Amino acid sequence: MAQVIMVVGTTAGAGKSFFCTALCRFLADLGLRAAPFTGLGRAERAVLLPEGLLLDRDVVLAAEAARTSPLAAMNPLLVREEDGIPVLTGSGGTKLPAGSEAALAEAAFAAMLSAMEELQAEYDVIVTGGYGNPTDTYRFGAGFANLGLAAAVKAPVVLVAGIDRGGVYASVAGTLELLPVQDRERVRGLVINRFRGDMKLLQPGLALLSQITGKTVLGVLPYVHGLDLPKADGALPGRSAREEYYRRLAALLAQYLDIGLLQEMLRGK
Amino acid sequence: MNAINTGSRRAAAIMVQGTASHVGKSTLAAALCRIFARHGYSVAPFKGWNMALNSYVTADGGEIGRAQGEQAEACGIEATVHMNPILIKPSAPGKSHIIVRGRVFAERGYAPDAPDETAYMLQVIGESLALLRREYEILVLEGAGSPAELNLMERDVANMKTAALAEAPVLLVGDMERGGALAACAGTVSLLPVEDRVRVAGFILNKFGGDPARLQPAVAALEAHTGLPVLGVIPHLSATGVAEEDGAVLESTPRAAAADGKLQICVLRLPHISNFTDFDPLQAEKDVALLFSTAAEDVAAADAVILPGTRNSMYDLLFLQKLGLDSMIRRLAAAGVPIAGICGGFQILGEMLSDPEGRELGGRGAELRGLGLLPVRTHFLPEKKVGRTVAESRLPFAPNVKVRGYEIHRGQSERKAGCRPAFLLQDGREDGAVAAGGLIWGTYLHGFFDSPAFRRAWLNMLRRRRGWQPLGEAAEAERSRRFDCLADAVEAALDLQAIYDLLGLDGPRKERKAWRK
Repeated sequence: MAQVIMVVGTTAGAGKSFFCTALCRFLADLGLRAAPFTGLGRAERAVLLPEGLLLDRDVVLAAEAARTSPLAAMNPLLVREEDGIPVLTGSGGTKLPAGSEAALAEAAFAAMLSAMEELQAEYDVIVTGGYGNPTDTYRFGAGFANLGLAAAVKAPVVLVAGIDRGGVYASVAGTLELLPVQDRERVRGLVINRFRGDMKLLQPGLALLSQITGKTVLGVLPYVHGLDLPKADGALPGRSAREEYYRRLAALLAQYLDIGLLQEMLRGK
Repeated sequence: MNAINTGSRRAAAIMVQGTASHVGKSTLAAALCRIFARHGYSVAPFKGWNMALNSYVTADGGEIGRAQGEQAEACGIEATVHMNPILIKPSAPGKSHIIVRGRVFAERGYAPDAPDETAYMLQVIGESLALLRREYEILVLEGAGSPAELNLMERDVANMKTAALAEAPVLLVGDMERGGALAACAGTVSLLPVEDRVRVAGFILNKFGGDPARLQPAVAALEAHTGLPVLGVIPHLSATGVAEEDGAVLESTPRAAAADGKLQICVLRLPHISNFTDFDPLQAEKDVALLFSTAAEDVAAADAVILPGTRNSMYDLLFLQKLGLDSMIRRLAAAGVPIAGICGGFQILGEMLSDPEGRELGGRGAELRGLGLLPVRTHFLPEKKVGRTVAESRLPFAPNVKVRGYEIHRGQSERKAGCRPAFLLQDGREDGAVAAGGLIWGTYLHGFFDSPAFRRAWLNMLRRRRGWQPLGEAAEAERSRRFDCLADAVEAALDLQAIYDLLGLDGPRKERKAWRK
């Protein structure tokens, strides 16, 4: 069975998808058969593939970064929220029952687990992206699509936080603080994303954060101007632009990640 | 100003801090200002230390953060430099202007070994604060960024140190739109040292887009975990009319919707763009699709191209040249597409920009050829020109239309003989330049699009070029009305009695004083 790594974020836009795509290419470069997985994809970001599959765009990119083909199992469900009420569709024809939200959550979780099992049989490592902040318990999926799934597949968890708007220490510390203790223990590493400035100035703060939370910093990723994938009206940019993007993402991880810690996580620790 | 001068009397103060930047602090502070003013109190805004790109020019010609200027308007008072005594305004790459009480105090770059200025800044903040506390009954303070930055806390004068000076309880605002707000609120409180933690009186969950009933269990859990109340869940308010503080928001401005029946106006997204609030009134027009972009296809498709204000004209001119946009804009101008330049954008439209002392390009003296669309030459001077003015348009599409505006610039531009100015200022100076029968023009003024008659005249000129009927002057989107809408929405969602309790006040005055707009 493939090892699963779960990537969760402190906010929307923290950089989960960015990190998952980078990790997929980085692991593929190591010769591993890697695959992305997103239990709950975003319906508004979905793209229709020639094979007829409707998948979250970020999963399609991450699959390409992993040098594998996009599969329905990589993104079993797409969700959109209407006034805070979740509406689910199965990207690969998954059927979900109408009825209470609890029943919907149960069916969604079962669909995620069976898709995950399918992938685990085919690959060495599964890079899994979560859904929103795992402590936003008022949102559908905050529990089961994040730490719930991680627990079920015994995945070590990476917590990604964007530093560009400030408040990064508080959002990391607060997220860990509000997680139930068994979930908090699953979090193995912290990733600080989009840092601009002098790393030396950040170090004392990070050391304090590690001391307070007991968590290791897996990496501080600098903001790289112009790294974002060019967007052309919702369509994917050309193949060579995408390849260059993946190459640069993997190089960023190679330079700034604690590879020793990542290797431990790959061994399920 | 409502000088009350009761000597020892001191305003009650409350402070709005955030878990991060862009959580909506400025808007909430403006709402509180308006609410207290409507309840019959004399109230003023205050932000001790501010880092912002958009500034506001006070009546005495000082520069403060745009948000404090607008919050003062919400209070119904005239803004003064004391309402934002320290403003840090990024200028060139890695450099900032330090503006103290409205005037440039220094320009400096990042220097890790620079002497600690915390004590000096706190002194300035304390003096301005004391002055305002003697003049008003309530002060609404705003913090900056997060108060819990572990690597900066010692030097952070904007948040808890200012709260301590003002003896202000703190409302901590979290952003529900991005998620993780509950965690950010809890984390902020737990990372604060205990003497600061006790200042936090409660949380405000801002920009919530769902059913509040659904949120209730999570709110209860946060309250139980922190021992602090959630004093309000504010719905997502759109078009609040209060300026954003920072250039970062432009990056998330969505691409304008399909522009059927709309004028497409492209503002060049220059790397050092400043004062982009200039364009808010255009964005609010129903027949305008406004886009901030440097993509060639966006520029080429536009009905008009605007070169906005920039904090670094020389650098941004080089940027345009690198993208090949300089020749593209010249081609569009030759094809009769209207082009306007504001402040730095005006300088770029000229023939020559001369900066012998290298104020713009990090010490390298340089002279650059501009786009050459206006017969104007610009020299950069050490002194900054800052001031508010009333002006009369000399532009052919809006003859003699009066506008209000303000100037903030270091360059001085000379027109060649025969070139007409764009505006005549109240002090008799001529401003800007016009060419191509009014299709191409530039000005040092900011804020003139706020004048409905001028804005409509320019838009109607663009409509005529499309063969569309001109529209009547749009009903003035009154700032005053927008402040009231904002205040209504926040008042409905906030536990205001709890906030009055924090201020030590009973609540709304029974006899409401008329306040000035």
